[in-house]
Amino acid sequence: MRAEEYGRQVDARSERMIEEMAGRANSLWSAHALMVQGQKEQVEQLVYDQFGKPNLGPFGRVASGTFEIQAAMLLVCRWGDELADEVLERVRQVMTRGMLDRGNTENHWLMHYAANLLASERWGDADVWWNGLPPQAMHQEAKRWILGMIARTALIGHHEYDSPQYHLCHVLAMISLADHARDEQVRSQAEKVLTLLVADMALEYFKGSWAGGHSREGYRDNTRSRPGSIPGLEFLYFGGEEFDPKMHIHDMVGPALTARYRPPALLAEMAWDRETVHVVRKTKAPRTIYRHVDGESRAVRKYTYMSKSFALGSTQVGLPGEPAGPIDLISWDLTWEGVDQQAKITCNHPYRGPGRFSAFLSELPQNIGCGVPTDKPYLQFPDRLFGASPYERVMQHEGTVVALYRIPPSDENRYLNLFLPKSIDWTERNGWILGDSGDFHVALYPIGPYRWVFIREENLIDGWLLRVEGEDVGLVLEVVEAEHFEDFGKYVGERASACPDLNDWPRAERVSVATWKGERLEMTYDGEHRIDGEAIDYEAYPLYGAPGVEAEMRTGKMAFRRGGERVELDFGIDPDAEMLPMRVIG
Amino acid sequence: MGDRQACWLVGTKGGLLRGDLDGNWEKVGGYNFRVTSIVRNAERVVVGVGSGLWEVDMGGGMWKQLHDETLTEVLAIGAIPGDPGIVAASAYGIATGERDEMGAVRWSFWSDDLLVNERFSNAVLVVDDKRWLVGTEGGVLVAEDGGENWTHTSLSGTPVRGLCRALGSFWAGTDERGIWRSEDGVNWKQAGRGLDQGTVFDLTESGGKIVAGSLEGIVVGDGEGSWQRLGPRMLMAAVAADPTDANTWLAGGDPGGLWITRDAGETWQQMGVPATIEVILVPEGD
Repeated sequence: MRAEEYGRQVDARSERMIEEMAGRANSLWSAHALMVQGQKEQVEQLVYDQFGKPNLGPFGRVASGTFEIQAAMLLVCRWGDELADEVLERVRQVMTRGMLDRGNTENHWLMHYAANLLASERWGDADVWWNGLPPQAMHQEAKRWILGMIARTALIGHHEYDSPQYHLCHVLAMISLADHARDEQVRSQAEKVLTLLVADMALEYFKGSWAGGHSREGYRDNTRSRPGSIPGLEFLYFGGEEFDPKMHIHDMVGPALTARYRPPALLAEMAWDRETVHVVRKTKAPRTIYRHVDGESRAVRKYTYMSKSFALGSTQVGLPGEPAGPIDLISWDLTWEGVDQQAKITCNHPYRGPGRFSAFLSELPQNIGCGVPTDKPYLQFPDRLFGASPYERVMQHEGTVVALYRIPPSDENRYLNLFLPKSIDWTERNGWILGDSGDFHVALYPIGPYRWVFIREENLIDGWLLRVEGEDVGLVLEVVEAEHFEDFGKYVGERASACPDLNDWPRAERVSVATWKGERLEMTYDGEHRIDGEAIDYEAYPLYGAPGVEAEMRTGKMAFRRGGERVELDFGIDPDAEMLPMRVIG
Repeated sequence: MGDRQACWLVGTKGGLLRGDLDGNWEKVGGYNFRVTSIVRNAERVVVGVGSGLWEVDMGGGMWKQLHDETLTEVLAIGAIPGDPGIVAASAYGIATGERDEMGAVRWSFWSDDLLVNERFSNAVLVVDDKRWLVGTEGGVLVAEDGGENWTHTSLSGTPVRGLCRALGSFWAGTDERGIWRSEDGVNWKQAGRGLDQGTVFDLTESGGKIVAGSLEGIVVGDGEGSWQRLGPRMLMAAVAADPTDANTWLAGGDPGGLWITRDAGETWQQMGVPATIEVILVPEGD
């Protein structure tokens, strides 16, 4: 598809989204839609109502968060020429006199620094910045962090990777820089990393959902068909389906609708390419675990099998051991096209060990277990399906996943939660649980005794929860396109006649299973993962690996190719130079 | 309370407070930062906070940022010569800073080659300009030569959250191993009796005794005999003794607010500061 044609398609989708969004605009994000429609007074009122209100009390200064200042600066940069001077002055006051806090996650820091960089360029004549330093000092600090963060992303992978909830924050911050930064180096690098961020979305895009592992998904999000805030951006950039305001209108996508930035057309084609069954490999930055362990986290390696009617993805999370267990991490899932909450399979050990929070938060370990869950009680729910467990090990080859858990007796939750949708009529035979989706067949072999439980929370989750109980438990899952078997009955017969080999589990910590194609997966819990006897070399993973994608680790160079089109990126980074330390959580 | 030196300062999860023993407390500026640590001298007040390091305007005006894009999660600070004159202990290690041409501070980290637990620094005690005791998640380490070199000590394998120098010795509060004492900062021995499995967060000296904030409230002793537990039984994260009255101590619960005793721990009273207390700094001078 030519860039012009793709641009027209994106513009057309943008117009529809703007029309819909303007009718419900109620924030500085969706205000962009109002500006397109000439409703400037409404936008100005939104700014007065929502941004820069002084605190009550003796000091009268404005505290503002990272989301607020990013939204305000996107609005000012994009529409500043049309907004009233009083509106601009209100934003200037916050950016030069406010009390800002950069938060503690990568999206927080990125929005903080992006907004401050843009503001310090716009109001560089201020005598002092909000932090008591000259605006030029703020600009330099922001530039160092932003360029450092981009360099890390291009060399060793994104830190807050592939998050359906927070990826949009990264894209919007980079759009703000690519479209509006006066610093040429920042503008250029931001535009390049935007292509990487959209490539991240495209490579694991499966018919409206983001398949595989994620650094962060929200509460009950990972059993949803369209989790997080990303579906609107996916629709804008990738199209390919009917516009559905319920799915595609998210407040925060507003700035992207009116941005100059558009991704390369070939990424949209990659997103919808179901012609060739293929594997996507990615490397991402190590997780931040800063205490309770002696060793460092290792690189995150992702493997996602993109088939015609399903996608199955898993992660080598690289965690250094107990009690490291990032609270929002999703290590694996099976995704297909279907109605909400009825098109995902995943499992989780709901780890709650002491030290889980304080391994990456700096408050006292002795009381943080009470403090964090007070605000977010769902982080401790026993039927939780998200959050990493230090006792989980996963391997995958194409449509087969083996997940093993060795949960110590001291752990209070000695079981797995396995989510199965109700949309499939399940069959039990010879230890296997088998289902026919129509397009594909799925077989699960729980390792350990299990029982069926119903799980339902209004508008959040609705399905079966298999509780696999025990300390040495696990799961083998196989997914196969239906076209490879005469019918489901034939598949059931063949699959149920060959069980995983559990003779060495847990004594020698080894499980093996033959796939429907006859390949043998052999997994040792804390050892090698073999396919037909050959060990998987996770260290050899590239930054990105997929058909038409070339991107080796630590080069800062990558190429995306499709048909006669080719997009090449060269971030111009010295791979031997010291990288910016990434001192954020998540 | 207007004099910078004369007031008590308390770091809370929601900002910096100043006040006096009569219960008059007010917030310094509108900042809602988690204030974990305070350094004060005649010229200035500096606070370590969850998201960095700030020089405080005690008049309620704009605070001045002292951190950069690498320094965050500051848990303890100590005064050293120079400008900005601070050694910062953070979740990411020990760091010192230098001003750049614009007056912003750029930080260098000295713990990068240590193990993960040894990097995470809960407490720092400045022995001299270039030698600092550091309480880490892996024990006490000594930063020599301004952090260029590190010495491991005999107090290892346990988190150390509090350090102080008193009664001619160094003292350390540990997780589940009580209070330890050292003459040189390198060789440590468990101090006193009855607190072998105790968890201690902060220590100070008053009237010839060590007063410590522990998981079970305040403990007092001389490091030889038995430790005596006093006051409300709660996680006391911070403790300080009035330099003009050896019987008056303040203790801070996390959570649990600010408490005072005027009779060396016999009776305790809340001070109307129902916050999560992180650190308490006594007045200096008259």
